Amino acid sequence: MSVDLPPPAALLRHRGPALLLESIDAHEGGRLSCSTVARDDWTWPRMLEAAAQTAGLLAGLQPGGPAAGVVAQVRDVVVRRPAYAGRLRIDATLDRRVLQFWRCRATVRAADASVLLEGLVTLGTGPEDA
Amino acid sequence: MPIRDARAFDEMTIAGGVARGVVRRAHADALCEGHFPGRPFVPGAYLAGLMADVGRQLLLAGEGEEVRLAEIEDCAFHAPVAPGDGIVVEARLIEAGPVGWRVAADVHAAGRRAARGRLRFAVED
Repeated sequence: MSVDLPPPAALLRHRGPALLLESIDAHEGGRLSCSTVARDDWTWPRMLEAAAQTAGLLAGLQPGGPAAGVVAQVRDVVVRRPAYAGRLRIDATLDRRVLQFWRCRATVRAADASVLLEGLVTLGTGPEDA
Repeated sequence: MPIRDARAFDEMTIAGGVARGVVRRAHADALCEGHFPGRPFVPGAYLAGLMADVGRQLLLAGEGEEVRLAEIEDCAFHAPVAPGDGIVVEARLIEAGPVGWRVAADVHAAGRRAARGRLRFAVED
């Protein structure tokens, strides 16, 4: 898989504490894997936000994808572990596109590859895409 | 029944089967820090977290159970929520069954509904 991409900070509009992704580890078509920054205070909303950032990157890499997508919907999000300390691995796959919405399946994993949270995240175009 | 949550909510009340939390402005500011600088808004994931906070208080008061969020069945975000929009979260029980409690929640901001969700809770392990 190619990783010939700039770091997440160069692609996302998030800065400072809102930027949860540290690196893009793999990318191929409709699949993207990222690693997060290391934190000792991962809560499930923060894991979901990191999953949304990964999904946003993936949607933005698609033809016609949003430059700065925003989360329009989350569905079937199962929280297996509500808290974690360390670095996360997030895998996202493009599930479907309808008009200006990109739905991605995201899986958030711990260092030992166990699943912490998984579900569907739908990105829509943001104000900067208008 | 007034409930205090010094971190996230200025006020939380439960009446008529509806829990209502008024989000503290400083907390909303913290949630937005670095999120789309210049035009900050609360990330949808954190709005879902606020829904779960209020739903959890509803179940603690009404069912007497310490619960954890098991699943976000569905959550739709209709409009950006800025930290100064006056964020109010409401939650009500829609079903209690063998797999836990299902709660419907809304986020109101700037006088309109900005997000709606359905959450499922389970007994705390």
